[in-house]
Amino acid sequence: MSLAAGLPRWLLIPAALGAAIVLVPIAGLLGRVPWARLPELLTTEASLDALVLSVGTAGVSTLLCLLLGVPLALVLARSAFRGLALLRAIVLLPLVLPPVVGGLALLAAFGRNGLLGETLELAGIRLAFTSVAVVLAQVFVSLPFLVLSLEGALRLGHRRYEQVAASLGASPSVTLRRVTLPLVLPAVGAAAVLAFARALGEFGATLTFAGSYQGTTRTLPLEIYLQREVDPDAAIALSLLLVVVAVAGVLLTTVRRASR
Amino acid sequence: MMELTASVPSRSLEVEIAVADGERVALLGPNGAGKSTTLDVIAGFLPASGSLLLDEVALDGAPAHRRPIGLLAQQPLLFPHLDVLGNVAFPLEHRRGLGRREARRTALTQLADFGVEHLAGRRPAQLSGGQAQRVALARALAAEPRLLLLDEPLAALDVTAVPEMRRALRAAMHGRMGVVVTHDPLDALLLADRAIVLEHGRIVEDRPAVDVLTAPRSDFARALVAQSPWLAVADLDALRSRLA
Repeated sequence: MSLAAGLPRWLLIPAALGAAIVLVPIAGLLGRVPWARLPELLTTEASLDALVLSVGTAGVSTLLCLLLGVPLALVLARSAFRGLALLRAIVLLPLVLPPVVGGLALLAAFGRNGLLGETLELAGIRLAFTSVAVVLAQVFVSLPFLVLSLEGALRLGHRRYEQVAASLGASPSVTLRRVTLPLVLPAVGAAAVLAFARALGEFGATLTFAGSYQGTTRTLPLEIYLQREVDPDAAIALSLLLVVVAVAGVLLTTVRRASR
Repeated sequence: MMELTASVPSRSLEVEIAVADGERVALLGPNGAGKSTTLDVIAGFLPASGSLLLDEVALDGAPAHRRPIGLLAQQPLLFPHLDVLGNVAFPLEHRRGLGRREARRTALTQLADFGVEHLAGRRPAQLSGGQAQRVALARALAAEPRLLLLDEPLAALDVTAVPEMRRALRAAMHGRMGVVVTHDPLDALLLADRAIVLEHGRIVEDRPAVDVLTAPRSDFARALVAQSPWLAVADLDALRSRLA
């Protein structure tokens, strides 16, 4: 047990302020929770619709992020070509882009008059303002989280293990399945939890690209924003739900890391 | 028979090495002379211009997993997510195409040959350095390689673990085509018949190991011998038979 070993004491002050910036608002939120009305507020039709939609879309988004993000992270981590840095920067763009802008970009691509929208329209597919749009928006914003955290793990010298696997007769596909992926499995789990949490909290891009229709596109964050005007207690109750899920996710990943 | 002609301009490496059937060659030289690069080229980890023939089959274009070449490095590099048995079964499944159950059964016999069958259920993290390296050797040999590459296989071991591992390596290399990179003249004498000295990516000496280490011609070999005064007084034949 030691507090800030080897560091100057004054460093504790800004460090404590930093922690407070996160802790105080959460404490404030917890102080406002209408505990007695909680069951009733969380089980209204609108709340349940939002909850089911949120968990469903975030789950599908996480799955898509894994299917696309793991290969993307592998390619980024194991390539060396001109323009790689630029490609990485573009893929990571949604991390720093305001989600509203992301939503506009998605509309410009998949909207009715968008880049691919007209082709999709001809094929009888309309994406904007559907649940599929919710998933697309979530994948757009959470994919970079998964790729970034995974690429770091993939760069940690597993190359030698893969070479040994090859010398033992394993083809690149076998090596990927039996050596590379098992070695980064903890990191994949952590990255998936991060992506799920980010997808669950998605607001701006969803509102812009998918709109806010109960049961189809109105996820928890959108429902919270709406209820804030109508019934602040309901908004707080739903917020608590998101906080609990987020804390569980963060604990799940950090505790696993600490135990290794 | 292995015949290698390779040049890797980016590492300024230019070598020509032939190894006869059953012959063991030691690669000596200062750090950065190109010893490990040469092994990487033979194993197929590093592209090089030139040619590589193994038993008259051209391998230079073949990917690493299609080369019948085994590898044991300084670190055992056992797959941490598999137990010892799973590690040794790995090449049996993927190189020799055995079914899962058959591979595990054969792996157990292989472990017994190395006197480590009691470790079968352990994870690599639960092994001592010497145990891990012996399992790694058993795993490399389970692939039945035509050519075995050893990259300083004793350098990372505790002094107490070295003699036993050296004996295991000597047994494994007996009658087998092999190339061993080492900094230790004793290993060059015990594990190899011939010694090749590399300096700045070029071969400067290629003679029987005993000759290189008793009458050195290259700068590196001279320095190595000067560092090991026991070479001058040792009865090398007696040494070999004692450690056999």
